[in-house]
Amino acid sequence: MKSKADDMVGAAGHYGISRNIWRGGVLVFFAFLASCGLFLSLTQGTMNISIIDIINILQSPINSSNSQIIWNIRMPRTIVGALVGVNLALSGAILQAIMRNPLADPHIIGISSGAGLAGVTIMILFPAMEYLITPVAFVGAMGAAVCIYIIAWKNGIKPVRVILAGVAVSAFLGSGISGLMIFYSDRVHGALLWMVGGLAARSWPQVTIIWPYALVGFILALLGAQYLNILQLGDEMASGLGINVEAVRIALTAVAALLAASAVSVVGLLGFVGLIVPHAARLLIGSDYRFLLPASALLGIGVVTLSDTFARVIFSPIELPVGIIMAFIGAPFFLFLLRREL
Amino acid sequence: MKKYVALIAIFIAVVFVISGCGLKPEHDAKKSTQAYLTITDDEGRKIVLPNKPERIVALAGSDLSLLDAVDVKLVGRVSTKVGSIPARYKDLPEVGVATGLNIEKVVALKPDCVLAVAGQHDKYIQLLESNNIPVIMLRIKSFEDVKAKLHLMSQIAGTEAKGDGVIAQLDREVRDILSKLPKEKKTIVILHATAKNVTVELDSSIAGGVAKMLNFENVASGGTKKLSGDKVPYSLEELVNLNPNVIFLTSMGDGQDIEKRMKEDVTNNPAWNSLDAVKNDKFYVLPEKYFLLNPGLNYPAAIKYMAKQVYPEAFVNEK
Repeated sequence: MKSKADDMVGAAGHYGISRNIWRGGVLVFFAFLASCGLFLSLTQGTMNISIIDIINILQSPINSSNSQIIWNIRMPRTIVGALVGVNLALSGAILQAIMRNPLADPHIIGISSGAGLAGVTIMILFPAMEYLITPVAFVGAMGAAVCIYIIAWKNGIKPVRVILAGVAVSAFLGSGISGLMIFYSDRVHGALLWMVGGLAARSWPQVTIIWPYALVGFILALLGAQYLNILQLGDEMASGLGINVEAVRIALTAVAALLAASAVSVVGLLGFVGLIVPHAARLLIGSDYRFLLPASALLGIGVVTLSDTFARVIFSPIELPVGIIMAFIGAPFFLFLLRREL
Repeated sequence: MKKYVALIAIFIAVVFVISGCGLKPEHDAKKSTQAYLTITDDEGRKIVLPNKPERIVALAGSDLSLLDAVDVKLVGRVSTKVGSIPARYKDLPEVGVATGLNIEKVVALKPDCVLAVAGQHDKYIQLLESNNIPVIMLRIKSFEDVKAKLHLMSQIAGTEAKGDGVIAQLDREVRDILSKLPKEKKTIVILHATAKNVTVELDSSIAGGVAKMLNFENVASGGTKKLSGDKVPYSLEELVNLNPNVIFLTSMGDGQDIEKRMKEDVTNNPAWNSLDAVKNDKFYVLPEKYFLLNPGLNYPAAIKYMAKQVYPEAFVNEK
């Protein structure tokens, strides 16, 4: 995984560009994408509000409907989208390193199925307690992650065992979700939207929920970057270098789980970002996690905000859940990248 | 190679023979003198009931109250937890839930007419028909549907007089409610089920249909683009722009508690608070029992419930 991904960075060297300049350039490019995403997400929508009006509104909030739309609908939604993008992308990047598996993503450690079953149970069986969806989905996600880790534990943790345990537990919990949906087919609609993942009606309360996790998660992930680099070399090499592999792996899985669970509990089961954003970033910037983590975070912001803007505008006033758009556009693009680079 | 060709030829021949055999009973049925009733069901299928059905099985829980109202006798029914089961059907053999039927039990009851749900039970049609059991696919949603199906059910059971009476009574009740409303056109929007997403219900949904009968204007179905259908995810920005007078939210689950919760969910969210109707507290929760599945005979009650939220003064003198 590492050698091929690093070809691009290496190739840059052949043309007389130093690695660091190439990486800097890629980071700037991702930052540009992210700012494009944020800008478009704030300026585009069902309502046509001119950029001058938006600047005025941002300088002095007035009580007009346009001002309401910008301050209470578009801006918080953009921020939630960006933070969710950061969290899922970082979570995926971390998991791919510690599992040493390119298919690892938040689904693998049970985040999605755990949060999914917990969330859908509340939505369908206890709709009166809908306010509990966020905390319960969070608990479900962490519960499933812990469960998978315990099952996979046998004189230590082997990445392959974690992934297989993850698949098994996810299938088990998934049957619960399907069962609920079949027996309460009349109540499925809200649950379905939640399973796809979307940003509709997300506002400041959701921003408050997610930003502390994003901040702390980002800092912890950066602190762990050097360990992630070493873990990619394999367990033996890592312990040879004096690292307590088990402890590091558990600590970093916990960080990944927190990041993903906070995102999922706010927007539902948004797939795709955690799997594909880190890959796309790695193809361009290589697998040195000191650069890959910030690159994934920036690309995560860009992908989620751009997709959400697209989802809002394409069939306006009908709004598609962003999860659908992301998979629809992103998956073919990702395959194109793979065919070219690997 | 030749072997395979021969095998395929035999296979095709067998298929032809079997399908040919399958067609025969239909011809026979048409030849027989004067069928009891010929129906076109809600999937456009033509069904011939040769004799008056004596062993009817109902596969939709919401049909039971309608069947009861027009005195239809059943020999089996679907298991359901939604709504109350009419006394005369309580102890009938059950054939499983609507989404997971035990089709063997249905066949074992030897029905001569099965009332199934259009769009849900299609996969059983062939099986039942191959056992010479006529299947009628029903889709009941709007008030008009309810009246049409009451008529159909009474035709099947030969109780048309009773059916006409029930339908007339429903019409009377609805007319009575509509006559109390002030002459004005309020703009409304109906949100589906949860404040965590923005899904609007359009005219062909149950709540949308009731709102239309009450002469409310659903801004979502008549907005910048004409939309039709049942429900769609919708832009919150567009709702702020269309600025409806009243917002309804259909709920899952009933009771004061859920209503209070859902209201809090909306009022605590700044995004929802951008809507004038929310700020002015013109925001009402619609209970599941009337607006999630078709309310059947309770349609007048559902219509009255919605009307009463918006015009409580028109109904002050009622019990």
